[in-house]
Amino acid sequence: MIKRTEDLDWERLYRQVYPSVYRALVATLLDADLASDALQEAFLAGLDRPPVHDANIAGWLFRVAVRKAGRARRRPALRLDATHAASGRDQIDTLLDRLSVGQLLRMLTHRQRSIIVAYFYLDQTQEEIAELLGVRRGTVAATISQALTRMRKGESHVQ
Amino acid sequence: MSNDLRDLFKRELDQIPLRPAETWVPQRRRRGFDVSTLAWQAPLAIAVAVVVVIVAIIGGRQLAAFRDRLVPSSPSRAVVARAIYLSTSNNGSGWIQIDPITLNDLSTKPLLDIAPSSSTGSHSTDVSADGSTIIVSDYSVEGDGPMTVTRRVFDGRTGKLRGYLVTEVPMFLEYLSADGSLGLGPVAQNNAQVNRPYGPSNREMVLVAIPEGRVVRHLGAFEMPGQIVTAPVSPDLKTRYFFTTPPLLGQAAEQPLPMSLYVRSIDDVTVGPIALPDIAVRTALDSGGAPVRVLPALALSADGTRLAVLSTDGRTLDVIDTRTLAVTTVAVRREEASPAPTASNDATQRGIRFSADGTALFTWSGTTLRGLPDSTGEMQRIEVATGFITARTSVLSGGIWSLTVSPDGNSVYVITRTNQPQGFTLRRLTHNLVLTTERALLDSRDTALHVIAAPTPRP
Repeated sequence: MIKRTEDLDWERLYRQVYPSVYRALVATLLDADLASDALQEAFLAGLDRPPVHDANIAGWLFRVAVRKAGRARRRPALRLDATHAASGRDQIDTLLDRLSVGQLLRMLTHRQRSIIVAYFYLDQTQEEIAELLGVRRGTVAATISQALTRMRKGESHVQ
Repeated sequence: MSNDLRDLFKRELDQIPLRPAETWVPQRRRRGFDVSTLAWQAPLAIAVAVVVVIVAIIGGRQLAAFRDRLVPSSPSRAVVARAIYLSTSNNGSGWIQIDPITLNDLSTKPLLDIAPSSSTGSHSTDVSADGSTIIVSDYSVEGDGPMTVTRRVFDGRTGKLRGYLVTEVPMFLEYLSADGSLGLGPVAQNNAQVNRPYGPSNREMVLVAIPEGRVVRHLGAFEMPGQIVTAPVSPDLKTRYFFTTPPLLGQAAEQPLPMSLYVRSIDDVTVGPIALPDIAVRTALDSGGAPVRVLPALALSADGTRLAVLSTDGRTLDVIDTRTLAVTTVAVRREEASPAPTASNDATQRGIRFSADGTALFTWSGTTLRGLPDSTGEMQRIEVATGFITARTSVLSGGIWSLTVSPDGNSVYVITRTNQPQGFTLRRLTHNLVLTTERALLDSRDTALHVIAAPTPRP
């Protein structure tokens, strides 16, 4: 396949941030397959309408992928590779159970997880997260505070 | 604690295994499809498209007929669709509405029915580039109390009040996005400063939603090498372009100061410096011995994809692709490839505007470096790709005060100002600078007089 120059640029930027964004998505979605699919969807979305600036590609991909994952979750899918997916999920589940961060993240709501991961792992500022999620900075700060409190107390969120 | 948590998150989440690199990018790509795969879908898609177009045309005509029956010869509708607007004041009152072809006055019903405000306060009016949003700001001080600002947001097409803009933090509203949905300006330390014009600056700014006033993003203050000359902002307000020069060295006259460009995104990332070949700010001493500057003329295309910078001698045009930041330099010359300069003076303050389609620039001259008036009213049309001057006119007496290009690109509206006798004249020219109509306007020497919206005339 002949690739256009701008496609190559977008793919290069995407590959640069893929590891961190993929891991952030796994930690947020608690599902490696969903994370992988959502990130690929975000890549395609970037091909159609690339972000204006490439300064915060990681944040942009993370936000788009989280949204795509939200839609995918609401859409029941029949997976042909269900066996493989199940084994992959088990592997990630085991890993997250072993990691103290994984245990902490399981106590949070999906929204809290996405903000906490963006803040502590992807190094997004509160302003950037607010911009990405379309909320006020104060909302981001409050969510982080609530999540930290919950993690400190060890309160588990009832999923 | 934050740093400890960050370290913990990075240390542990980096243990999540990655998938093979060849699976990172999906196999199917939406852009660039293979026609051969659409062997049977293509005729079907074309047929569906034809049906949709036919239905849209029929439906559109019926809708237009229905709409016309609802509002027969509504004066406000006629004004909104067909008039160009001239602002004769800063407080939103006393606007003139002019037919875009005949230049006849249509001001029987003002777009904004705002009574002239009291003379104790100050005012400003901002209009979005698409004409959809008008913000009228009134500043007032009661006694020794703090300054208060009331910003009213109007629908630019109907003139109706859409709401009041109350920003989360005190700010000076300096820029309005092309679609009128965002405002940008420096943070004011207190209410008393909300009316202070700051000029191009690298201080803290905020991006606010309109009309809610919610702060969408704080843009931090930052260090910028050299001296900021001017700082245009992209139509969506998400990119600022800082043109800088080295500091002036003492009082030495005739210093050419090379100009550089820094691009600052709303993510607070700066790219630059980008050198602009053969573009310099010219300096000299005026009759009082004070240094004066003549700046290169600068314009941003309506879609924000191109920046044009014309040297003070009018001979060199730098065009910057704002997506790649590549600079293309072309020599400005007559079409017959004459090396003659466009003006005799080597440092003239010029103005430039992009044509509606961004392929050409309209330029005009103002004052010279030595303060000599160069208000010949001469305009030129320069093709961006080649630098050729493809049209000129010198029939406009008086200095050019304001120039606006209609969105359809067929009309160039120019307001000229003359001192003897004192007054303003509005002229309409075609895209190749042929004068079609002119009309004398009332003397508004103490007020702003600009074409603030020039919608495409309806056929």
